[in-house]
Amino acid sequence: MKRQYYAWFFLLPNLVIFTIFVVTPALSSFYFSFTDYDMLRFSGKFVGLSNFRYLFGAESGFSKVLARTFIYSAMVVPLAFFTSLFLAVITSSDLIKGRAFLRALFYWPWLLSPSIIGVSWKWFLDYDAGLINILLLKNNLSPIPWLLDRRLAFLSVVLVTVWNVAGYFMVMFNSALTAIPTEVYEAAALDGAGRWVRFWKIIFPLLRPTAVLVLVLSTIMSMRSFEIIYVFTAGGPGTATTVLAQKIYYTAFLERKLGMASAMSVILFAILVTLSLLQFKILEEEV
Amino acid sequence: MKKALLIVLNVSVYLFAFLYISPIVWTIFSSFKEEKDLFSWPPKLISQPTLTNFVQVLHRTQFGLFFRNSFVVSLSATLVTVLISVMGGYALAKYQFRFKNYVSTFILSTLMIPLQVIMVPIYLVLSKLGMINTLWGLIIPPAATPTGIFLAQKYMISAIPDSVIESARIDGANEFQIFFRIVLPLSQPLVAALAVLSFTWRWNDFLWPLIVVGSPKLYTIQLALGTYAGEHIVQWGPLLAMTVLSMVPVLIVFIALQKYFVKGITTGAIK
Repeated sequence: MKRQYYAWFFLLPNLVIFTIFVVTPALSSFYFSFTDYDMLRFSGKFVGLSNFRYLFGAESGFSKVLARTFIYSAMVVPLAFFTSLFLAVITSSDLIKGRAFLRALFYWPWLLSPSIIGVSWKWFLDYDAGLINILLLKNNLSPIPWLLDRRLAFLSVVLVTVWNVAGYFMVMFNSALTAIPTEVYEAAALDGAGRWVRFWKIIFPLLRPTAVLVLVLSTIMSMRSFEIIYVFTAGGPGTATTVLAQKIYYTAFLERKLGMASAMSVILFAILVTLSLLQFKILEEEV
Repeated sequence: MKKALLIVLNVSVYLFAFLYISPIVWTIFSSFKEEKDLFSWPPKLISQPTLTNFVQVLHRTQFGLFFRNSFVVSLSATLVTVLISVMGGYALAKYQFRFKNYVSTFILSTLMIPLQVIMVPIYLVLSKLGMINTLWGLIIPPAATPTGIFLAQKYMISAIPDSVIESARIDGANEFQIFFRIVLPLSQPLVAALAVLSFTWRWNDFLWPLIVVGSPKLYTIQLALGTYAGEHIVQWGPLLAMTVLSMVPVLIVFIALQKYFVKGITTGAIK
């Protein structure tokens, strides 16, 4: 037997799984997006662009979901960026003792499951029994309706997302900071400028490749957020925290409109592919 | 910098770190309170610690079943993932064959298709194959991961010299013997890293079980947590105890194999 056939054999399990469970579904979602397939009849007919026309029409409310997803992402990305950079700086600074321990601590939220994060934060921000509200009550201040008020719930969801991903990006910034030669730090110290100025003028520009990657990755992650929000707020109160992936899930599995949900998936897919291609391009340029 | 200032700086960093993880600390802390103390008025920060919630979880809920489901799924999926990722990475690293570039691109392209985008058609595919509400449906489809394959490929290129494989061929070993007797044993660090990653992914996974599983008999621990948290009247005591228990396996894996995590082997890998 020719040697190259063995390569195909070794690759076979992966290729089969990818074909059946990733690529075929991805392609068929384009087809379903042009049908009115529903889960009750398990059938549907071709309806052309009418799903998309409905979604971008006035009465569907979909443009609100889309706008909410973009706002959510626009808040998560910069907050996650500066939080992770801040965590990386304090866990790389030689002024701080026990840096490895602190790194592990900040990394911890990234290892927790979406359910654990959702439950813990739901409990932490509970109106009657959450820690912050108890402390407020103890000091004779009025409790904050974190998850009962639409705006506060939205802010809480942003906050939890940032908290979840910051440790992961911190590790990326940590390795970039370690890769900077010590001479650069020494030269910067001789410069006489303060630490703050030195960091932004000399160190930060050297982190550019990592910084760009963090921005792209966090945009991708936030655009497809689903699991934590599902457990944490279930998209509520009302629809205040319902983002795109959530809307897809509810449309498909509660309203059982698979065709409509597929049309939304195609829109999400288009956004994510654009971002991923951008990511690959950046990775190629930086390597 | 002056010593006093240094101390102030360190103290504030540790204070910040404590605040940072306080939601988790509060969850652990609360799980040892009796249900009536959780919502007492006026609220109490501290009360007599008790194991009531844990006892209740172990005796009155199907926790054992959920935990076992999670273990069965995570362990068997990890086994499959490690084996097929190492095989795939080996093929890409050490063989020359036609269409190799296309295969790489094909695998890479699956990174762009997260489950969130294909949950509708994948549900239909799984029901056509009769895999909805089965353990197979939980284990097999997510077992292939581009991240795993590319990690393996990178490792094989740098850590396993071609000469080792060539001399085994000259000695008359066939291709399978080379893979199982020589390449696999030389890949222990890779296998460890893949196993840790895969176990964590599968143990923590929520969306996949949410789509595949409908019957409570097949609930994983994560799915059970998410479902109980979404109920109209949440039973906080047992729920918090269950949350704390579900953290334990990943915490053990993390502490045992910390260097693989923090040394950035996961860098660039978003699953």
